[in-house]
Amino acid sequence: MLQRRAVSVAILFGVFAFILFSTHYKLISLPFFWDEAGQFISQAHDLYQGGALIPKSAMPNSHPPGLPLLLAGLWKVFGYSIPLTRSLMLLFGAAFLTMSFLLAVELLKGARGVPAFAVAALMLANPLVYTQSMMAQLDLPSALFTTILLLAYLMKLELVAVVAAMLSVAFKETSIAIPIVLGVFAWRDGRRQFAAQLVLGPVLVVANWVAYVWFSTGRVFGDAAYTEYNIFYPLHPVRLGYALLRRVSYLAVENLHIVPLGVLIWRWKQVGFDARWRPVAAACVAHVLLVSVTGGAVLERYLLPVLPVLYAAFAAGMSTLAGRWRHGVLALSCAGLLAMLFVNPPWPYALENNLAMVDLVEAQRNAAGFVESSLSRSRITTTWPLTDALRKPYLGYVDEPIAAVRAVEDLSIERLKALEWERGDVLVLYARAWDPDYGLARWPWVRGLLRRFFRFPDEAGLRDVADLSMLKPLVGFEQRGFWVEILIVP
Amino acid sequence: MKTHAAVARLESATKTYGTVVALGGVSFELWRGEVLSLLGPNGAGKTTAIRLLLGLTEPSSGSAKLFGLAPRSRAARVRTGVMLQAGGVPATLRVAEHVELFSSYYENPMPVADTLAAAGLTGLEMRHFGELSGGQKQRVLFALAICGRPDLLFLDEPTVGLDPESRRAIWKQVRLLKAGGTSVLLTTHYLEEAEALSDRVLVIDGGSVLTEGTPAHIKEQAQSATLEDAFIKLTQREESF
Repeated sequence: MLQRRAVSVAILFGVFAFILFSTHYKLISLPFFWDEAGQFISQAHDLYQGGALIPKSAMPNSHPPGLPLLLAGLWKVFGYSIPLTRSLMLLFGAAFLTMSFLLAVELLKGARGVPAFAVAALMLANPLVYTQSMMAQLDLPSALFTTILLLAYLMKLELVAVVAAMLSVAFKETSIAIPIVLGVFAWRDGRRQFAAQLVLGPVLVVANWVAYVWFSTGRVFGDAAYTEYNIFYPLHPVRLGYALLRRVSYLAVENLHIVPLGVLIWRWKQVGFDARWRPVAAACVAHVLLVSVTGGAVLERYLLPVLPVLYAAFAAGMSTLAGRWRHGVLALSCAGLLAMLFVNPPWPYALENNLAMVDLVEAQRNAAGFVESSLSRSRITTTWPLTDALRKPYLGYVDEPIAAVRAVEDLSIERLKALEWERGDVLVLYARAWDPDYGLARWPWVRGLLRRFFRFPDEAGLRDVADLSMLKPLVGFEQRGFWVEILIVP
Repeated sequence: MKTHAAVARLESATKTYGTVVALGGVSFELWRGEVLSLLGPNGAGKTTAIRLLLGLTEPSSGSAKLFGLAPRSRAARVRTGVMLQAGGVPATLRVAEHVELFSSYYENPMPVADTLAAAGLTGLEMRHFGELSGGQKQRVLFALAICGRPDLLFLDEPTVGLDPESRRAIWKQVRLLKAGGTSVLLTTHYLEEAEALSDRVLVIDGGSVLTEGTPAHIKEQAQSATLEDAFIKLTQREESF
């Protein structure tokens, strides 16, 4: 019986792995993007090169070293390679999809039809799951282990649950809300030893890491700027309100989630959620709250651990509909999700949520290649993350580091005009955010709010190039609305 | 001169980055014992052409060959000397150690003392590279490029930061190497340098060859007294900036 179940799970994993690899094969060598480049890959590379757990080429931070240890170990065995790194993450993605399916099976026992397949379809169609599956970041591996934790909790596999809880926080400490809430429910159910293990195991992992960071850096979270941005900055009432609004918007409205959510609310009584859902739902709510009050960037990838449960609830709602309607709602929901893989919303958002990240990376890869090929002897002025892309060949943009890169904090006209420019100097100007002409951020009052509460810099756009009279445009790159302009002092 | 096979050849070489053409179907050859200068403004495509010939990047279309071979082949590389950029050289090694190390890569290198003398480095052997002035570093880089008695020498801005005396000393060495049959591919912003050393000049802008010929031919073509005037006329006509 156990063997048959293991074979089924292996087949399921193989199917998801096949789907993920076949839908990502063109992106398997994609250079690293944003936080991958600035944080996780740099941190793992420091560990790989010098054995340092506390990064030197990235900001020291509170994240436990699960991913850097895994990547550095992988590179030690097989050698450093972007396709290898992305392949490992795709395997994590396949495992996450497999566990999401099994969790749905467990949660939806007794529901009509085979709603776990609906969960699989929604997960596969989700643009965030698509991009995060190949990205070397913490949230997807952490979500894999929180999903295993939820499943093991429901199946009363206590040892598996405790190990999964510890592994989830070894990748990302913010997962800790989930085992704590489950521990409270286990305590109430009289499973006191299990409850203590479920809470103390991950707490010890995080405490151990925090103590190490404190001992190594003199700061609990490693770096003052990191602590300010991720712990104190989000607590401003306006930013906190906005973070919660963003969470509700992403989970309930965007990506056409409003359709299956509407069905769920309409069919709430028919669904008849049983007691098994309570600890799972409570753990998810606690996780959403925790990642809303911490983390300055309010990224949607922090929500990955709750998606399998949300989609299981959506599937439960759909399962109460008659056949044609059930399939119609599922098809519409999947279509909405798939569309958002390609369509960028008209407001600033995290580009890693859909294929915009690929557009930005490709535009920058082409520009960096041109700079290396034609301008490598010039002093290159630009801003992060392109500065890292030009300095660190292992990120995949250049073959050799560009010798003279002048980093500026942002690309505002005032800052650029204040710099000293010499003959032959090069400026690489580029769009760092999705800010189309029709975008909401173009409305003056929205822009004012963004500037006042969210440190949104007024960066130079293509129209502002004429203001930089000392520089002349040399070449420009564009990919689906993301542009890079290279200017030179003649 | 052209009775021999080309020492270096770019054939319809194109290098594109997305929709931007860094080099658009450029063809040229470098013959034995010839000094060819690539001239052009920043970003014109000179360095791209050199990177293709060195095998540092692959052409999007067309081909690059050294001695009829792939640029990355060992047989081509051991016959080639390249003047590196200062950033690529460890600062903690001494001058003589650098030359000894680089000489060890080649099958028939010059004696270290001869290399040091040719580059004007006699007396600086024991100094660390990181302690040298900009001009002295340039001379070390030149020494590393010539220490293997290369049949083909790539000189990318060889005299940047050198005083006039050092510059003329390097010019003298280039002429001696040429007389010995070495081919030299030179890029420089000093047009009098190109005029003084080159048998042939190729003016590149916007990834394309604007004109090609002897310095005299190019001056005549642009009706200019100096190569510098001719270059300015040619590149401004193309509104490169």
